[in-house]
Amino acid sequence: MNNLNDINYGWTLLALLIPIIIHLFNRSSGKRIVFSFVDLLPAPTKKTVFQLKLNQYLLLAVRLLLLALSSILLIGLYSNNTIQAQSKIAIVTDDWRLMASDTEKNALIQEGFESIYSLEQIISESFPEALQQPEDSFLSLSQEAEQALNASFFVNSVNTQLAQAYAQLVSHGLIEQSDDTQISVFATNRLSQYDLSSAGSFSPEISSLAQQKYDPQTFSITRSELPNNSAIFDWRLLSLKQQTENELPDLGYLKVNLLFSPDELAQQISPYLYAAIDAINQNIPQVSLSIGTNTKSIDAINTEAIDNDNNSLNKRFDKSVELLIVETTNDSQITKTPDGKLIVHIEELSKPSFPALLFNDLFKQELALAENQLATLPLSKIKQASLGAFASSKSDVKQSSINSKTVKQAPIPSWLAALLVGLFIFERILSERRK
Amino acid sequence: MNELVDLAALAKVKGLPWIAQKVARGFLSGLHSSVSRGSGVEFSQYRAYEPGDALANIDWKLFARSDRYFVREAYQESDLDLWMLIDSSASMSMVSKQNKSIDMNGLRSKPLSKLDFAKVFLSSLSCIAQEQGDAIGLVSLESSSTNANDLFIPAKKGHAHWQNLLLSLYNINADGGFPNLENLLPSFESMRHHGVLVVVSDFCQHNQEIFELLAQFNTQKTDVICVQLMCEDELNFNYQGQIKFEEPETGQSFLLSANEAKTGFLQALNKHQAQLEAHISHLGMQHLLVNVDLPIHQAMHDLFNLQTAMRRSHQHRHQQRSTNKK
Repeated sequence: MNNLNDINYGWTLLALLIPIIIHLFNRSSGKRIVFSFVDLLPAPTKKTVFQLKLNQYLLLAVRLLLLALSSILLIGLYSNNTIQAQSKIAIVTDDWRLMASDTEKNALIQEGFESIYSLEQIISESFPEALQQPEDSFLSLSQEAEQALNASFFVNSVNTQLAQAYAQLVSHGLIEQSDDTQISVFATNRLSQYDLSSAGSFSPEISSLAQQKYDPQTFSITRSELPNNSAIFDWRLLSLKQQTENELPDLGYLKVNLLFSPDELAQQISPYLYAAIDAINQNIPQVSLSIGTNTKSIDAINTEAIDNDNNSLNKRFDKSVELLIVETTNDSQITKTPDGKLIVHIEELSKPSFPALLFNDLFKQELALAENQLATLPLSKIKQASLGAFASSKSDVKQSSINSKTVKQAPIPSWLAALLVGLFIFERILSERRK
Repeated sequence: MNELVDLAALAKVKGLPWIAQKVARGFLSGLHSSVSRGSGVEFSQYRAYEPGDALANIDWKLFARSDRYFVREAYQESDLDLWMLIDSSASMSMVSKQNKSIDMNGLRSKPLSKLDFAKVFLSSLSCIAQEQGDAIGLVSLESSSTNANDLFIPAKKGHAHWQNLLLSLYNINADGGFPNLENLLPSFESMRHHGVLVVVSDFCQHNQEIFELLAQFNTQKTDVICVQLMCEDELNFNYQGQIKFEEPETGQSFLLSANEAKTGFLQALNKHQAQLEAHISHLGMQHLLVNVDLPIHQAMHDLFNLQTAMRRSHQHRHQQRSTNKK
């Protein structure tokens, strides 16, 4: 429980004192009536007095319970607005810089080299004595150093993205800035291409992450490790709380099949997809994702009209599959067969934002979006604006429209609402009888 | 003080004469009839001459026609003392929650307590009596005042006396319990026993003190009318829920569930009323139950109707006695 929730519970305790104090200091139990013929009134029996006092205590207990439940309900609503410190935040990130082609990557590295060369030139001119040994030159890079440099780009990139995503979470008030939030990073990039075990200049958690390749790792990121330039960046992220069994969305068991053509691009991004799929399968047990690359089936879905007779579909695919996500040349859309099978058409499954889209389409999960002008810009331009000195990606990625919703609050338990209404009615009845 | 006189109620009962039942001594000065026969304005009857009758009362014209001696009798107007006895103990301060403001030409808007009702009632009654030329006296039954003069205002005639009486009535407050009878007895002795005594009280007694008071009056020569004031809440016990009932004179209080106490209270009240009416009737007095939550003119109507009925009953008995003598 974080500090803010502790304060909430403190106020609740104070509110409960109010009816207790009123009860203790209320000397006049019952309405006072000046009555002439008191002698004619039946004498009160012990049983009557006991019943009257019991009614008073019962009324007090009902009022306390009403206050307590109302407070718990409000606190529950409030705390649903914030992600518990114990929960994990899953950021499905696509490292666009690693998703970039080798040409782009090389260009970036080349730019880095050029910058370093320029800097070395300046230093040698001003401080010739500083670069007297061959090993002092930045340009003398061994293969390992080159790999380390590549990895440093990766590390820097991931760290920057994480920092910005973290800042986004904070700016939305989804997490407490003073807490250490466990963030699960599902890096859906080609980590397998990099052997980071030899790189010692970055955090051991990253290297562990790389070693385990597709397995999502959990590591801590504290506020002190954030770079200073953690500017607000309209990074679309998905917060996926680790939910208990009782809080699982009512999806049933959803079987999803991803279909895409096994072209060269698909082969390149297949690790990316596999990483995303693994992330989903591990964190959402109700969902089973599989990949299919049957070109004919894909074409059939894209070209054939979906009519009442869906036998053609069932012949090609497993009947138990409920959701088909198909790469298509059309605009992204979702269709539904008469028997309830969902078909999600996504243009270019290789889109960096695919995991987020996938989550959105599958579960209609809430996405955190800042009211930012950048939100309407293409993703590439957003990255260009926010990453500052880093070169922008040359890939023209278009963002799909995603409904901007705030973090959805957990629905009020119906039994709690019914109990509150019942208690309120009971309290009114007792009060009226007491008048 | 003008608030005490209910003009609206007076307007409704103005035409009714305030008539006494008993013989009033003194000369005719009002509109009250008596049963004494003799010279007067209104003819009553002829009866045979009896030795001892005044010769002036013989109707000589009838003698000329019948050759027999008959005495002419007529109603003789006589003055009347109206005594008002008002109970100003603490129990009279009770206000019914059902009590709605009584429209008194817009002069009063607050609910009336039993004492306030009594004040207005007696003020209106005294207004009628004063206009008829009757003497009006006031006795206040309160234990808070130790000065006997504050409790007793002798019966006198005149508008100025009536104004002073109204002022005294206005200043009466409900306080304390029933006064000691020993303080009142000297005052009762000075009362002329020929008149009408109106006792206005709730008749809420703890030790039969009111019965002891009533026993002091000679009902043979004085009309005693016991006007019992009760609230709608007392009559029907329209309370609900948990209530602390407080007795105003003793301060005793009970915390009761009104719903559970209603049946027992109403039974006890009926028994109490039956005993009260029986005792009053036994004393030869008249009893009138008034609901203070009803308009005052209705109470005055009831009082006049009661008086009229009793007068007719009295006249009927007197005629029967005269017939039996013959």
